[in-house]
Parts: sequence; structure tokens; C-alpha cells
Amino acid sequence: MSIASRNPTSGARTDPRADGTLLRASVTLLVVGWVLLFVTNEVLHPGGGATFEATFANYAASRDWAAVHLGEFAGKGLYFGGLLVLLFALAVREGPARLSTFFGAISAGVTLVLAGILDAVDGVALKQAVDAWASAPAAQKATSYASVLTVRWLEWGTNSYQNFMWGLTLLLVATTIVITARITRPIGYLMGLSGLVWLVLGWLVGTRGFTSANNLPQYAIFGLTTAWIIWLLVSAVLRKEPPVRAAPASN
Amino acid sequence: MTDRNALRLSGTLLLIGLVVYEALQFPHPGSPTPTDQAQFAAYAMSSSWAAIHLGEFLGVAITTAGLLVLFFALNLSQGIPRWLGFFAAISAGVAGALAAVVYAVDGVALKQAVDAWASAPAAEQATRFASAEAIRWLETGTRSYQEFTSGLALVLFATTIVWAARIARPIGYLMGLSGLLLVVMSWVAGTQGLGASARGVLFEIVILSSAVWTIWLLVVAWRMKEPVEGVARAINDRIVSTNPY
Repeated sequence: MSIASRNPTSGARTDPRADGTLLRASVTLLVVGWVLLFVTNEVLHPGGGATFEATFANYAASRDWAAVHLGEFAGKGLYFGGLLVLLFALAVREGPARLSTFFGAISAGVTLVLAGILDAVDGVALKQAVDAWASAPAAQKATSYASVLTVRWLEWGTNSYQNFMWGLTLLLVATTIVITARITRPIGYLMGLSGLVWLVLGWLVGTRGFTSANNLPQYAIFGLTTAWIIWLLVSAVLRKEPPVRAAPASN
Repeated sequence: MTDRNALRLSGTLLLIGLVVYEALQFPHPGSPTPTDQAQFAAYAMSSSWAAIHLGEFLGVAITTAGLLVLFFALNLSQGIPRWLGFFAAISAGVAGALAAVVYAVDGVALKQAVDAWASAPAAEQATRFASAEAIRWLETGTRSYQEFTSGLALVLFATTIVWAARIARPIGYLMGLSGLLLVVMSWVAGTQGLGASARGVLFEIVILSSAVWTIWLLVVAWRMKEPVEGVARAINDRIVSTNPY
């Protein structure tokens, strides 16, 4: 490559815009995944009670627990699939953004592995434990309850570290968006902010468990995530494809 | 040709990860009495358990990042070394994911269990202790497999380094030694538990050998001369950036 043909401002980009087809695929996955997560988490998931016992009794009464949690995991799979496709859409091949892209993809994969373990613990093991506790004779109640608590603490742990990795993933993807500016930067700022709130939520769950202290960060995550996904959707819909250039006659 | 900048980044990440992890061994609570009761009592007293374990996870994550960058730094384009490096990177990624599970169990669930045991009335002590032990065994299992995959990653990277000879081979020999010792540690954990005295000795040797090869790698990376192609590109960049037209 000659000196004159080199881009003096950045070696990171050959096209200043993201790949339109991949961007639309990414937004589709993110929207469907986020809606599925909202429906399974907020609409279909049995509510908690005032005490651990009341909460576990609600869970034991649930008939569609396994399906709800499988749906939740599917939602996370679509969401992280959308983030991975978004990284491909940004098509970073050089420069510092290549590192944030690579580690963002690795981090997304690790988060999804943790989400799988979380839903295995929560969606299967916890249900078995609360069912056994609810149907145990009085003499075995205390022992069964101890098993339920053990599984619940494992759920706290995996939930906490899933949230940490979720936050790290969003921070890395947001960094790529802000550095490359192939899609509008405020989407990256909102995504990065939501990543920071995920880190806070990870800390709260890891030190206090599922308490009302988690409500505020959860609302913030919902608001921020909905905002950046809608912004990404609008920018993908309103995006105009560049006209196809005619090949030079000499070619 | 080895990518000098990537090698520097890899060495820096590996050293930071090792220092963070090792530094957090000092405030980690523990009891000189090697029984679960004594250890759990010490853990229950800790008010910084979650922070220490999150920091340890951070150290492991930074080390994993350093190993992944090492794969790119070695710049292996073909042949068996490329496949060895590829599977080493995969192993490092799996070890990183398993580390998150280890710290979810150890850093959160075990603390909840030992706190509940320490504050339980006498009638519930036996049941709570059984819960804490169940979580401890889960930690033992996940840690054993995390150490095995970490060891495998190091052995594969070591074989790649020795085979390709892109950097000094003794770094590969020491890295391989660390990897093999980690595999032995994982076996001891899986068969004798985390409290086995042999693990303490093995851990110190792993840390020492890792410190030597990490610092050696960093020194090699920082003393490495810029490749001719890189110099030409840097000159080109400078000309372009100062050219008013």
C-alpha cells in the first residue's frame, strides 16, 4: 500500500458504517430476546412472598416453572446472539476496537454459559428442592428446607457472577461502538451505563441475595436496555443503504 | 513473526493477573486447623469475603485475557503449532468460564452457608453444617476441573512455544511445569479435597514458576526489536500525519 493511499486518521475502518443486513439481524435478535426475557421474568414467573417460606411455597405451586425458566434462557440466548451479531456488524478488523470486540465476544459466551448454569440451578434444581420440601412430612421439613436454602444460595452465586459478566460484556461492546462510531455513539453510552448497573446488581445479589435493594438497579437496567435497543432498532430501520456503484468500464 | 505489541500486552496482562490473584491470598481468611469446622468459622468471621473473591476472579479473568492475547501474539499461521495454540486458547476460555462458576460457589454460596451455620441455634447446627459441606464439595469439584483446564491450557501453550520457537524456549518449559503442577493440584483436589496439605506446597511452586515465566515473557517482549515492516509503517504514518496535503 502506498503512502498516499493510507488513511491518516484511522486504521480501524474501511467502511464508516456497520453492515446493514447484520445490523438488522442483530436488532431482531435483541428485540425478540429482550421481550422474551421481560415476559418470562416479569409476567410469567411466580412472584415472591414476604418470607423465604412464602416464596418457596409459591414456587412449589407453579406448574410451568421449568417452561418459564427454559423460556428465560432462550431469551438470554437470543439477546447474547444479538450482541454477537452486532459485533460482526461493526466489522472491526484493526486497531484498539479489535480487542474490545474480541473480548466482548468471549465475555458474551462466558455470560451465556453462566446463564445456562443459573437456569439449571433455578429452573430445575430449585424446583425439585421446593417440591420435596412442600410435600415432606413434618419430621423432614427442616432437613428439606435446608436443602432448598442450599440450592437458593447457589442460585445467588451464579446470578451474581452472571450479572458481573453481563455488565462486563455490555461495557466491552459499548467500547467498540463508541470507538468505531459505526452506529450512533449514544447507543454505546446507554449500553455502557446499563453495563455499569449490571455490575452493581451483581454486587448486591452476591452480598445480600434477592432483596428489595435490587429493585432500583433492575428498573434502571430495564429502562436503559429498552432505550438502547429501541434506539438501535430505529437507527436500523431508518438507515439508508448506500447506492450500488456501477463498476468502472475498464473493469 | 511474533507480534511485539500483542506480546507486550499479553505479558502485562499475565503479570497483573498473577499479582492481583497472589496479593489477595494474604487477606483471604483461613484457619491453621485443617478441619472444615475451623475453616468455616474463620470464613464466617470475614466481612470482606465477597470483595476478596471478586478480586480473585478479576485476577483469573485478566490472566485468561493475557493467555488469549498470547495466542494472537505468537501469530501462528499454519501447521501443528497453530492447532496447539488454538486448542490452548479454547482451554483458557473454558478455564475462565469455570473460574466464574468456582467464584459463584465459593464467593457467594459458601459464605451464605457458613454464615447461616455460624448463627444457627444449636438444634439446627448439624443441618446447616451439612449444607455448608455440600457447597464446599461443589466448590471442590468445580475448582478441580478449573485447575485441570487451566493446566491443560498452559501445557498446550508451552508445547506451542517450544515447538514454534518464536520466543525463548525456556519460557515454554517453565510454563509447561506450571501447567503440569496445576493438573496434579486438580487431581489432589478431586481425590483428597481442598484441605490436602500437598496442595499448599504445589500452589506455592505453581505461583513461583508462573512468576518466573511471566516476568521472563514480559522482559522478552519489551526487549524485542520492532520488525522492519513495522518500522516502515511507522515512518509512513509519520509522513502522512505531517503531510499538509
